[in-house]
Amino acid sequence: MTSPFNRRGFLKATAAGATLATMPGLVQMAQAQNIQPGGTLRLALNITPSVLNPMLSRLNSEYLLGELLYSGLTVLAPDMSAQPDLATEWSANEDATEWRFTLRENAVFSNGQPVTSADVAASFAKLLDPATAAPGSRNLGPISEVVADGDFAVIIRTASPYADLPVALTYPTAKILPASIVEGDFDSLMQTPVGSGPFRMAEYRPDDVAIVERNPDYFIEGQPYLDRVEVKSFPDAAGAAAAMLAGEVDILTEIQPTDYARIADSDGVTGLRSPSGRFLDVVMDCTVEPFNNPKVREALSYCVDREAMVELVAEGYGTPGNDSPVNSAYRYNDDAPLKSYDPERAKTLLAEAGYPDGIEIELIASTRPGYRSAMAVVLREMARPGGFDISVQTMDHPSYLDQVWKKGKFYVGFYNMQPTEGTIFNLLFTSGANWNETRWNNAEFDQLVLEADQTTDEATRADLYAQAQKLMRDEVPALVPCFFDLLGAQADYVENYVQNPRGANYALHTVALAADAPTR
Amino acid sequence: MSTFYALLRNPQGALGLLIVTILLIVAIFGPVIAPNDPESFNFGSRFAAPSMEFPFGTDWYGRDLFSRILIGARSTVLLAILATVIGTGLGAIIGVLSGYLGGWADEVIMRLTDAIMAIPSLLFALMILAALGSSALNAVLAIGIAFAPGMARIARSVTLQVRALDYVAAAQARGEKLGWIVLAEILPNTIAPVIIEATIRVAFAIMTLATLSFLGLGAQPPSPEWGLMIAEARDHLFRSPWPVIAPGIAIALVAIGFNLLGDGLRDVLNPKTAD
Repeated sequence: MTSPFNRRGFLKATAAGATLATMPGLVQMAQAQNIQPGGTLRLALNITPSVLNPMLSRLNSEYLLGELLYSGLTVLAPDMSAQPDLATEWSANEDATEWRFTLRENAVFSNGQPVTSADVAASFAKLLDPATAAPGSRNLGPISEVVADGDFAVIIRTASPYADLPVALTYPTAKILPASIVEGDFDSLMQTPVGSGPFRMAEYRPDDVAIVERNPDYFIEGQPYLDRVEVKSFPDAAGAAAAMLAGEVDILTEIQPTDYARIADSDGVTGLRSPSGRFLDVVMDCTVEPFNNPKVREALSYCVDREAMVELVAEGYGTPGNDSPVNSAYRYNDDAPLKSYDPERAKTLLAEAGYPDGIEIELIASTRPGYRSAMAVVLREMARPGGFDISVQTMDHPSYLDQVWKKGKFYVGFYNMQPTEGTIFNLLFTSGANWNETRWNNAEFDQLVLEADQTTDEATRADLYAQAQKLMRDEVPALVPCFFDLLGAQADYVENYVQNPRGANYALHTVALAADAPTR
Repeated sequence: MSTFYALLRNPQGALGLLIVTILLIVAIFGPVIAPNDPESFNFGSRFAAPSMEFPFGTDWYGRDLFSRILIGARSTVLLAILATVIGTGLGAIIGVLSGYLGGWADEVIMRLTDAIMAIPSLLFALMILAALGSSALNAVLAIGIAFAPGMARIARSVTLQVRALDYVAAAQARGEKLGWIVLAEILPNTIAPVIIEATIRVAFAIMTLATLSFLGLGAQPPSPEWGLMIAEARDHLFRSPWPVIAPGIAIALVAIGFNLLGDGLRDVLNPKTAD
């Protein structure tokens, strides 16, 4: 098994225009000695944050603000491991059902109150309360109870063993809020943030800009390095890209694959690229004709030239998929050889399945992001020699979410990377998944994922997840033809900005500006 | 026939007629002329510039733009003409009826069309598509309906002149039915201005159709409809301009062709400027 961390570092260093500054770890440590504190960082978003309450946020842009203003127990590192945030250390009992998290004693909310175990207990009670309707509350694991253990430690108990708890707690909505506000005027967080994050809100103009300033009481000595961060909203990706090229912003967190080379090649700009588990899939409803026949699904899986798909749909900025939502950006990828492109075999399988003359079928693709319909068109072309006559129907995004997503029998889905294998399987493919859109309902697969969730032994988990991935490759509840790299850009004078493949973490408190940065 | 020769002597009309004739030939025989399958990928030659092999270059999948334009002519131009025919037919009948009936019925019909005309035709078409769902045929229908009120106004104003003429009074005296008088007596005599208007409208229909496809509401990918081609190519504009330029020029040429033809017809069919 190759280590995802090394692979990521290697790809980064070879990515167009990437310099050593983007390589995490070593370089970051070396630079820590001569870091220049101060300065204003300007960052561009093309989806405007509108929900300020961190427990209710749903978009990457809202996660970004949440991370600037609030802290959680743990935070997700670029290698998908849990790192200390408010909790400094944690340990579990033998079967991973009871965890003890030790809290920092120097963390303070922006209203002056210290962060204590009572705040943590109250925050989790609120998060897990169905009435709060916090997105991602089901991604936190089977938590049954969170209780204070003295002022600066909490005990978290789970209903079943759950080895990934510290990683699951990095979910962006799992922020710690003051107990007085959680139990009092919770709605006030929509206007007035009260958190213990590295920055504090200075100004917020919806659809325009959010300005945060350095929190002088932040619990990590010397951080954040920046005095101010301006988060600017642009109406579309093209506008944000133009602002980057004009030097009006210092960091772009997202770039369209078609725009990446142009932006990364321009003067003074460094392109950022990280392999990620973000993927497009072609969802097949396994309970209805013709996809209730596994041979039809298998036939379609031989109609995908996966390497070409990466080239045509992700413009080369991606990795081929192997019909499982796990790739090398995750910890336990089984690295099986790619399925081959074999339309002849697809034809034979279709004939065996009772479709000697091929199948005519409509594939629905939402118009956002744009590469959804691109994948549909490419699949149509690739599957033609295999006996599939696919017609593409595009649809605007709200109609798609309303009428097709989780309901249709053949459509293109799009998902972010999740911190663990278990999270992505339990989100989409197990029988009890929140979004069980394929209705595959395979008991053997459910059992493998459940066992892996409950095991702490690394080798056993790797084996269980490998079996789960093989099952998905054999039975093909969904095609996963390609994964997308996370693409971004930064001005050359930005230091220590590291892309997180999950796509929802930014760690701006460790970012600094070099001495040659323009002063504003 | 004399109209035809008059049109050839009119410089605008002759040029318009030439462009439109070429276009119709392409629309009808395009699939036969096209050297390549408009949907087949050429992995080796993505973003190729115009060459002998690919006269207009290739797009981001390496599809031959020349073949796509030729085959797209049918869906773009024929659908636009169909939309115009629907709009013209509907509008002319409503207009003539309204003009002939006059009085109270005229007021009601005209105020209704005024109300509809207050909505920009693209917006109106979007509204209809939102109700019908997006497909190429629904887009044609939507444009047809959106065009009808404008045509109705023109047909009505011509009818107001025609209805006072003696042959209408004669038909009434013979005891002809309303339908006969409207369709057989008045409509044929209002046809010239309506045809001129319709010709110019074709250009608008092509542009509206292209706009709707551009917005993802008309033709569906990978159809080589010109507006859709531009919409899809926009993402790749900085890597190769040809996928935008080729269909863009095609749309512009067609719009100019139909406008010139319309202007020519106006001059030729107008008794005051004909000689």
